[in-house]
Amino acid sequence: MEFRDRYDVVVVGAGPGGSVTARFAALNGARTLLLEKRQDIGSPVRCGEGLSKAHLHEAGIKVDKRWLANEVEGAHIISPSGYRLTISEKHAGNEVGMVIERDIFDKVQAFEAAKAGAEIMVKATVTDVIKENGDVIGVRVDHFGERFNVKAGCVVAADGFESQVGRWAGLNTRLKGGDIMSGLQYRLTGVEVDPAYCEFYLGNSVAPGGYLWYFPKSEDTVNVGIGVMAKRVKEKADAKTYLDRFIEKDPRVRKGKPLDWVAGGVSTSPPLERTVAPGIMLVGDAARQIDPITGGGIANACRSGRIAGEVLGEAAQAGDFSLSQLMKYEKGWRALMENRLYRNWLAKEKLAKLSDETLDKLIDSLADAGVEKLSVLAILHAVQKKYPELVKDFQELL
Amino acid sequence: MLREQIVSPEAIIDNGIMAIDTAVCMHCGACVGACPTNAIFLTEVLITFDENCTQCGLCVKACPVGAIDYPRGHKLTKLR
Ligand SMILES: Cc1cc2nc3c(=O)[nH]c(=O)nc-3n(C[C@H](O)[C@H](O)[C@H](O)COP(=O)(O)OP(=O)(O)OC[C@H]3O[C@@H](n4cnc5c(N)ncnc54)[C@H](O)[C@@H]3O)c2cc1C
Ligand code: SF4
Ligand code: SF4
Repeated sequence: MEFRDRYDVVVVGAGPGGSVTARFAALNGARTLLLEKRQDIGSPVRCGEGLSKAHLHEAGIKVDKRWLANEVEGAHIISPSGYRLTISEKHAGNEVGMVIERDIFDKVQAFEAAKAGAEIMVKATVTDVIKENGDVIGVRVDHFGERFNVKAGCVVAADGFESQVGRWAGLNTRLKGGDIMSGLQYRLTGVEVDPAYCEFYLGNSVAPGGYLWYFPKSEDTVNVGIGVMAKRVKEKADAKTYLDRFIEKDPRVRKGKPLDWVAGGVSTSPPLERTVAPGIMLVGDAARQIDPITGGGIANACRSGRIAGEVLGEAAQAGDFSLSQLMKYEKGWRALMENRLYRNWLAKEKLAKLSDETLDKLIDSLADAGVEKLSVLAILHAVQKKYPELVKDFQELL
Repeated sequence: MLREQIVSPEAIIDNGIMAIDTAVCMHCGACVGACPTNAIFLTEVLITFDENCTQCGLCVKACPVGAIDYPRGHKLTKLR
C-alpha cells in the first residue's frame, strides 16, 4: 500500500460520520484518506443499535440485509411506577424502527468510501494536528510503530464522542456534566422480550437524568442498556449499578446470558457554536450532533457527513479550501438539524428535572388519552384532561 | 458466588495525576470526551492522563464501570 504525503481531504475516524464524509468527498473528486485508530472498523460496538429508517436515504444509504437485525413496530415508554405509553414507529422519533448490527453497518459505510475511491488506513491513531499560522494543514499519525505527518487541504474530525482533534485545533467541544451520559449495555441472549417493540424506561429511580432501554435484536436476544447523567452520578459506576439492579428485577431478562458488554459516553448538549475553522471541520459526535432527547447519533452523523463530503469535493475541484468554502458545511448541517437539536436539548433539560411522580402522571395521562402521535397539542390536551395542575409545568417544554 | 475484590497493584496505573484500573477499563473513551481539559488520551489499549488534569472528577463520574480514581493519597475520596 502506497500512501501520499498530502491529500485533499484527511478524515479522522471511520465511524458512520467519517466514512460517509470520505465517500462523498471521494465521489465528488477529492483525493481522500480515511484514518482509523482501531484495527477493526466498527468493532468493538459502542452503540444501542437503534436506528430509524426516516433519514438514512438523505445520506445515500439504503436499508441493507447485511446489517439489518430486526424491524420493530413501535416503542413502549414506561414510567417509574409502570404506566405504559405505546407509540407506533411512525411517531417514535429518531430511535426506533430498526435494530442493526452496528459493526457491519460501519464496515459497509467504510466499504462504500473505498468503492468511491477513498484510501483507508487502520490502526492509525491521530495524535495531534499540524498548524501553520494558526490554520490546520494536516495531522500527526501513529501507525503500526511508525510516526509521520499527512497534509491536507482540509482535515475532518470525525473522531466521535472523544472529540479531541477539534480541541487540538482550538475549537471548543467541551461538555457540561449535565450534557454527558455515561452509558453501559449488555447484549443478552436467552431472554423473553417481545421482538416487535423497543422499550424505554424513565425515572430517577431507574436511570437518573437519562433512560434505560431494551432494543430487541431477535426473538431471543436484546440490547439492554442505560444512560445516566454524569452530573447525577453519586458513586463510581452508577451506570452499571442501576443497570444490574433493573435486570435483576425483570424475570424476562434476568436469566439472559451476555454476548457482549458495551460502554461509552453520549453527548446530549446544545449544538456547538462553531464546527469549522481554517483547515478543519467537525462531523458527527465530534460536532455534538447527537439528538439530546434520544441520544441517537448514527443518522445525524451520516447526514452531516454527506454535506461535509459534498462541500469538500467541490473545494477540491475548485482548489479552494478557504474558510468561506468550508463554511458551506456549517450552514448546511445547521439548516438541516440545528433547530431540532436545540429544541430537544431544552426538552431534555426539563424532562431530567421531573420527579418520578410527575413522570408517572405524564405517561399515565398520555396513555389514557391514547396519544399515538406525540404532537404538542395532543399531549397538552391529554395532560390537561387528567391532571390540569400539571399543564403549567409543561407549557414551556411542549 | 463468593467474590473477593482483586487488588493487583500491577493493574492500577497511578501516575500521580489520576489512577486507572486497567483490569476494569473497557477502553470506551467516555472519560476522554468528558474531560474539560483534554488531559486523557486513549489508543484503544492504553489510557493516559497528562498534566492538564485539574482533578475535577468529571471522568470519574462519566466512567460507566468505575475504573478511574484519584491518585493514591489524594484527599478527595468521595465524589464531589
Ligand atoms: C452506549 C451507547 C448507546 C448508543 N445507542 C445509540 C442508538 O441506539 N442509536 C443511535 O443512533 N446512536 C446511538 N449511540 C450514539 C452513536 O453510537 C453515535 O452517535 C455514532 O457512533 C456517531 O458516529 P460518528 O461517526 O460521529 O462517531 P463514532 O462512531 O464514535 O466514530 C468515531 C471513530 O473515530 C475513531 N477515532 C477516535 N479518535 C481517533 C484518533 N485520534 N485517530 C484515529 N481515529 C480515531 C474511533 O475509533 C471511531 O472509530 C449510542 C452511543 C453509546 C455510547
Ligand atoms: S479529573 Fe477532570 S481534568 Fe482530570 S482527567 Fe478527569 S475529567 Fe480530566
Ligand atoms: S470511561 Fe472508564 S471504561 Fe471508558 S475508557 Fe475511560 S476509564 Fe476506561
